[in-house]
Amino acid sequence: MKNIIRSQLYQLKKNRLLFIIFIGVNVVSIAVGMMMSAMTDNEYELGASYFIATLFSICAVFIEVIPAAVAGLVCAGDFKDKTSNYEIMSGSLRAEAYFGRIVVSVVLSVIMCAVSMALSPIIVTAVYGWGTSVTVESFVIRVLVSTLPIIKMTCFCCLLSFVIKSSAAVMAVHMGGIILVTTIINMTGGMGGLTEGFFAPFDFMKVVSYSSYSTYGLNNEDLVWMLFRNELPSRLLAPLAALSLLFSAAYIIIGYHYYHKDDLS
Amino acid sequence: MEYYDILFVIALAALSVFLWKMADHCDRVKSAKWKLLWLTPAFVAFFFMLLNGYDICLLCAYAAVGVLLLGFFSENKRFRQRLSIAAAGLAVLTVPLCLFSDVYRRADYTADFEEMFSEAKKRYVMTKYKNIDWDKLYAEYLPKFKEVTKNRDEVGNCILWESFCAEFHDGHVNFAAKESVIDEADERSLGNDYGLVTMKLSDGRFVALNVDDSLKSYGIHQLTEITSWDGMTVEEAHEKSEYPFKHAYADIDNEEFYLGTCAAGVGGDTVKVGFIADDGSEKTVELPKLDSTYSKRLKKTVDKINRSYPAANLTFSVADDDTVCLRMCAMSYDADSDSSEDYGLMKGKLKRDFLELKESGARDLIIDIRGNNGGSGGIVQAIAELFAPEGEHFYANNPKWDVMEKRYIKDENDDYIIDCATTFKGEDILDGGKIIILVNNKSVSAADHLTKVMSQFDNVTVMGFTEPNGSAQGVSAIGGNYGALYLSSSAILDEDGGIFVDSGADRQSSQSLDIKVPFDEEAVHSLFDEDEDYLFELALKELKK
Repeated sequence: MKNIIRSQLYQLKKNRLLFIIFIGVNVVSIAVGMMMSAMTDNEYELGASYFIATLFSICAVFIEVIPAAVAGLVCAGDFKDKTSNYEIMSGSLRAEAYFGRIVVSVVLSVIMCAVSMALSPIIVTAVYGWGTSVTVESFVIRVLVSTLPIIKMTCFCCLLSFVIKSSAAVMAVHMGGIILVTTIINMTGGMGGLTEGFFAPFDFMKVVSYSSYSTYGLNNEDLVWMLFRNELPSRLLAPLAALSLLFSAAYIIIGYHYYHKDDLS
Repeated sequence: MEYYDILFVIALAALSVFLWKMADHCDRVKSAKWKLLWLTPAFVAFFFMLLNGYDICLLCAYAAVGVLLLGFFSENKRFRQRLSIAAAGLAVLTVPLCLFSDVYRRADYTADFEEMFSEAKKRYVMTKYKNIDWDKLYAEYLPKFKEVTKNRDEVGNCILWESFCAEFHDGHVNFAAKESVIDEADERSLGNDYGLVTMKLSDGRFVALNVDDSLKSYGIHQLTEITSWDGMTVEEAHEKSEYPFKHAYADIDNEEFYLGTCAAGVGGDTVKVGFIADDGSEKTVELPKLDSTYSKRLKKTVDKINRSYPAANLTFSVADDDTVCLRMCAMSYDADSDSSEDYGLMKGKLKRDFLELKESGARDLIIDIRGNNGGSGGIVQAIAELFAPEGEHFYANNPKWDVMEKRYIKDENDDYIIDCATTFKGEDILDGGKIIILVNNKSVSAADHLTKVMSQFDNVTVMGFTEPNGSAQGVSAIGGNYGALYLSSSAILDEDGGIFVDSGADRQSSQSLDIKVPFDEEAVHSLFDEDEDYLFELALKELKK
């Protein structure tokens, strides 16, 4: 399995598409963050914390491409050139081939998403400062908690990859699925009762979003203050953790069972 | 059972049958790809959970999904067919479980109350000023919310929230639920319709208003004095009513005006009513219930009393040779102005319109803000600038805010500290004319602001049956699953640093009427029999003096 992991990492180092996606996601996030601070006169809106509290959820939509890209390239990329077949023919066990790819996908996805989440606030902070809207601790906690839905998304994309066997199709299905579910939600007027832990992209958005309200002075646009809640809602964490891990395990088991009996064509 | 849950059960049963048949096909074809069919129940379950959420009573249905999922892991035809049968059985079992369970789709009103309560406690800006005891409120209302949760009573939940909001005596503290729920809450809490509304006249007598024709045979008609209701005084019957808003008024003078209005909904299938007949004798009759919607009759009556000038928002109308009326339904102009808070265009248009009317002979102005439920302070400032005498005038003070700590800075007495004043420059386009501002209890928020700001000028008279609402702080909303709680969360201060307009624990706002029009028999005749705008006619007469 170590060799499979090493070979996957080596392949990814040479993969331009992943690099472009990663750079692209971060450029968008940094651009949004910098523009937000550059265009405001209000001292209260200056800094990375205001960007994180208000517009970061837009950047999160782009970050959600990363698990699909990583899983698609790692798990589905080797079917086209028959690398998967050669691995099995050369003596590797199917389990090694499968779990080696799962490990690489999940670890890399989590690292890349965490870096993407942290990079834009770090750069904006370096230029404009952190600000006062939310605390650094609250953001760090949210980055850590967001690993749970990211792991779940990655495991689901890995399952898709082993079934569909095409990286582009995996990315399309993943993002298309998010759009479809979001459209259904909007048509039915809200979340429709779907609670934490069931749909990873929504969980991810919930984790990175800050609830807020505003306090304002009279007839003076300088006297408007957005107040953001630093703590994550308590009823979010337990179901998020339990269901994310449960579904991740289920996706891995189903994916392995499919891969184990698949003819790899 | 809910529509989506029924569809879900039917879909599961249909899938079970389908997969039972496919087990045979897959046994013959032997391809790994066909196994994926046994994952479809999971997608179906996800789809229905997306639409309608999950519920503990659907556990059998979720178990059916899990059972069918096992078919993915086995290629044995018989095993898969047995799984399909088991899943179909579990899906069918879901139906009686949902139908006979107390907890099926039970809304958790208690959790909503706890979450919104804790947020409200943090945000409310007049806790000390109005002497709000949050711990006492929590202890009192939590058991009641547990009761409505247990009884699955959505309307009861709404009534309870309205009662909770009434404790603040603040027109900005209210609960917004679905319109149908609010209507039902009003119907339930206001009680039965016995064919009349009881209301107090300025001389202290309780009389019948908006009387149904069927009561003529009993000797009750418009302005018949009512002496007792259901064996109690009218005040006692009013107190017995379950209507949560009877004590919600910010200003106690307004509450006094509406004393008695809830009495005529109290009672069972019949009610004993004491009254003074036309011959002067005291009689008691037993009135039957006409229907269970006293709320409709009361609303119609109050709407008549609170009628306003029939004109579009922020438009001038000619009232007579030298008087024009500016009707202000709400402190809102158009989407662009409201979002940018720039009312320059609006002000320019109003100025041009008024100056044109002035050239045609207009001298005095009536500003009708009856029923104005507020909006932007920018409009208040724009209007005040047009009609205020020349020079700088005070509007209100803004309190100090700690940007780092994100809270108001208070002194050692826990009072707000003045930061900066909002002032405005008058243009006096009226130039010597008189202004009457017509108000009522429903003139709230920015309408309170306009009354307060304009009443400082000598040529302005504030007139009405009741004072304006007396609620002028900034508002925010706390969203819940079954409604939203609105409350005062941005403080605005007066010239001396006290709270601007709102009443404190004494329930007296800093607004008062220059002319309190008595609600007497003459007013009743004019409003109900002649269908006139009594206050407006009085305002015109007042301007002629």
